[in-house]
Amino acid sequence: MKRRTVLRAAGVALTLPFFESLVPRPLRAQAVAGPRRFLPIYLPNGAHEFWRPPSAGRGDAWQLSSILEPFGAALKPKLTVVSNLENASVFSADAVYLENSHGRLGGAWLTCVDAKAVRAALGLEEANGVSVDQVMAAHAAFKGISPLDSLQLGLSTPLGNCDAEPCSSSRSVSWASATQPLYKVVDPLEVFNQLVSVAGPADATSTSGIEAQKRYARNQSVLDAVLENAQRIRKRLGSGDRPRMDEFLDSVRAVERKATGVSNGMGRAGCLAMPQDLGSVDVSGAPRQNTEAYDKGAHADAMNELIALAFQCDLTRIISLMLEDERSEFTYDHVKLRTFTDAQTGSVEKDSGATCSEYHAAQHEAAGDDFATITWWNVGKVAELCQSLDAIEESPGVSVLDNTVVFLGACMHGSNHNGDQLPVALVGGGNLGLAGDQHVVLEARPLRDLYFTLLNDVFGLGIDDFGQNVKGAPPAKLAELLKT
Amino acid sequence: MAIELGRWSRALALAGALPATLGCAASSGAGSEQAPADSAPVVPVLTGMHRLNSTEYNATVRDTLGTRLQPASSSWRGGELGGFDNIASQLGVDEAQYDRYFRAAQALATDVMASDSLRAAFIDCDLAHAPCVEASLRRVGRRLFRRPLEPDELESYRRVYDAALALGDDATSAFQLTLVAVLSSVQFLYRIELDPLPEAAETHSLSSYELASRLSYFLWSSAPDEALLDAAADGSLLQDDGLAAAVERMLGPADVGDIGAAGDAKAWRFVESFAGQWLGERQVPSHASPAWSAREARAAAQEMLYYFNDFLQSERSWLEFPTADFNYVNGELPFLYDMPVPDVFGSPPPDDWTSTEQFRRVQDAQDQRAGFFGLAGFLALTSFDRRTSPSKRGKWIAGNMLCAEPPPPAQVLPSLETEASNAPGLSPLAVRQRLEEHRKNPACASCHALFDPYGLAIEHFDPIGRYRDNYDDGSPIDAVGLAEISQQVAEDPRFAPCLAHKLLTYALGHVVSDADEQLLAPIVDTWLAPDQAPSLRRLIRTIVASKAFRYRRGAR
Repeated sequence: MKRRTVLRAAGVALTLPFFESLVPRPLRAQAVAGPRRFLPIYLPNGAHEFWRPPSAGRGDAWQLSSILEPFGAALKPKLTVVSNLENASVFSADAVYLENSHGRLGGAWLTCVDAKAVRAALGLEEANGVSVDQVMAAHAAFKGISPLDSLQLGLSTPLGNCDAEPCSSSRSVSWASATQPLYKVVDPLEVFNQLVSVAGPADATSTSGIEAQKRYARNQSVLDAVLENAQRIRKRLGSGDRPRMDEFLDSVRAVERKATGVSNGMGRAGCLAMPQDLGSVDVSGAPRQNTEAYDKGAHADAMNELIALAFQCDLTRIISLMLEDERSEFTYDHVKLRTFTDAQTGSVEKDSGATCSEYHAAQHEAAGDDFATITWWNVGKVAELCQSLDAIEESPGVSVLDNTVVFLGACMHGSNHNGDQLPVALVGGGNLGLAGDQHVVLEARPLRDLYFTLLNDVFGLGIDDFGQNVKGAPPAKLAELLKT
Repeated sequence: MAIELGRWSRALALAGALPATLGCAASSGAGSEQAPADSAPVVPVLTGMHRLNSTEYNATVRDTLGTRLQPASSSWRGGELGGFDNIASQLGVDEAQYDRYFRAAQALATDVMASDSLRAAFIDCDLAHAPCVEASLRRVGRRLFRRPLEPDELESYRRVYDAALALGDDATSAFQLTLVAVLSSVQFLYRIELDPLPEAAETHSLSSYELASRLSYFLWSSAPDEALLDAAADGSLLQDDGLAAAVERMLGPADVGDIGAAGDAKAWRFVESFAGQWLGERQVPSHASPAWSAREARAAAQEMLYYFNDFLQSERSWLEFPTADFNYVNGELPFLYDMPVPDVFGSPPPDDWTSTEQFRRVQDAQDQRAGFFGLAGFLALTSFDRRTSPSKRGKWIAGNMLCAEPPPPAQVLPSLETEASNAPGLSPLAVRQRLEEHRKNPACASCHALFDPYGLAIEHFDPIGRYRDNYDDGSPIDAVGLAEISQQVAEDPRFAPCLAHKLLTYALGHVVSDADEQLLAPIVDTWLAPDQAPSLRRLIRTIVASKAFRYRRGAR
């Protein structure tokens, strides 16, 4: 009884006006400090060679590559392409190629840790390091600042091959702890429900409505029984099983906060508008290609719209998005094949009307334009998302995109499965200190240096270390990315 | 058919004779008549709390509540290891997944309470009388928790009921809320096996209810039915004969004749879940090719299940799996197989026989096709969409049929697939030659020699399983042949133990490792003892009867 009273009081206290009270203290001097956001976007299976812009430099010295062409002239000033980052030094001092490359490199993409070594050290069948987005989400600058500390989304179809690794390595890029992969939500309707559940009703008076209070009370009574029984069983479990039970208890408590009206009441629902046709994206059948019920383009569009909504309404500041699971075998027969000749002249749709093949097979087919076209299509969906984020003005002359670091990358180079020369593009973040409009070509540097730079020099979190490097080099700043 | 003995026959023989140093080990005692002594010490695997996966969740709510709702979808949180999605260690939960459970519980409870007939399965009295609430709760608990409710549990759900009444709900709504609580509880969402003391690590036998759940999730992907719960209640399930009888009942009688319509039985879930994953049925790709649209791909994938099911519904020796000469076809497949219209579609066949959806068992001893490796589903599964891949086919056979997953390439190697794709101007023959060159590299040869020969032997079958004499460019195919390679696999000492390895992994929800060899070896020995044919059913009986299945130990 006491607990409920306290929580309800907290719910009232959390009814805050939009934005003003929620903007974190400026961590660096900024002209206009807005919310700082991070949006890592995972491109599976590497990128086609024509990703890399032919020339390096800033401004007019570099041009968009054929694959990155969808970003267009409007976003080029906010785009940074980084070449020669590698994540192989997490695993090996010399080899850039390793097997099982999809699963292992995928698992290390945001963690820069060898999951296999963590599993061996902990004696577990599923483990990894904490991912960079979750290091941020757990930091005081983000934790509890917005209704959701982070969100994990995906457009994948869950039938890919996991490359003999635990599937969490291929299907989750965000890890909250060594043992907690954060599974992404792929159903747009579910994402919307999640956003609504934390946004709270637009009309604050309805939270105190009798019906709402009754609903909360019913939920509370159900979850009280669930928690009570789980705790009773927990006492009878050996220490080996308790972490699993604790994970269950934590999940119930998180749902409890929303189902009993504690975490909502921020009154932002007025900001949320149901995107069009959300419910018509049917992801339930584990589609492997477009069907009558499933349209990948519509799926991507709906998710893009939800991401823009979540940011615009400040429901979360950290979202990881997987365009597909690693080693995706989705058949891209909804995309017309294009002819790519080189990295600079762009591409044109083929007259034949032929469509793209299966993603993973295409990755391995060095000849043919399937891989390039699929990469291009996925980049196009990211570009559209960036365009919509850039179209939302947050303060005079500053868009949501300017307050967001969009990081588009892959865990492997391309058709060769190597863990070096990773495709990396940063979009936006101009208001957070990213210089933009450049193609930075590094002497091979570890991927964790990018994260280290983002954590400390862009988000100002004061993190000493991140990830592993078997060569022993400490993490270092990539000053090239920053405004001087 | 004439078998061409190509230059790979020697490599094949070598591969067949290789000791099982990769993946799962062959049982040295294969064929031994000695059954393991019952007192042989075994150390059961550590099986933790086991969350129901999406398949199990849907099957469970259908079987226990009678609902037609199937809330779990492929977008629910899953997890796989070792090729199976029912591995306990991979089935964690998070806020989003619990939120799905909570929502599903509300939808299910609403559905059940809105239906007189569904409600009647639990409530056969007037809820206005207090004893009725308790009796109904006990019934719900027994079905959903797969054991009788404990007094504390009963009390906690009783409080939910009372709280709802206090909020002004009527008896039906109050019971509905209570049902939400039961369906949201850890005891429903997980299978939990307990040790005598929390920190006890000693091996001990499962309780009768725990055993009933293991058995029903193994064979039905679902909760025990009333009969199985009764067998747990009266202890008969703990007796060898009681347990064996339960297995026979759950699998259904063997040799039932035409089993083309077996799809409604609960045991079909075992076929879909175990064989569907192990044999790759869920992964069979469809291409844009007119000869292989989603319809053909679906039919060919289904055939793999029916082929497997033929072994489940008979006492046929498992050693015939690679060679048995029958197919299961619906109206889609005879054309692909270049097969005369089978009699089973009617004689004369009706005009619309090609749209027959039901699968029929057919035998054609005249064609070049037999055995599992002759199924279009397998042949397409292991091909790229525009060409065959001997390496892919061979690696699949070695990994899945012989449990000899080759070690990963250890260093930077030129990728064959990258070099030798179906680039314009590169003929299939060139692919073969490149493969040979690739194998000449000692670093590549050690692995490719282990599996390429299996794939090269069946080059007569194109990427969607059609028989061919020549490649598209007219060059002749030089291959050992399907019959030879299938026989080779069947006789390989690793073949039968590999099934035991996969099946024990699936049965326990734990990936069987080298450390578990002490569990696997006695099972294989008993199964292959020559007094009966080593059938799939016999292996299931052997596993269920084993200490690996009936015992557990705690983790300290």
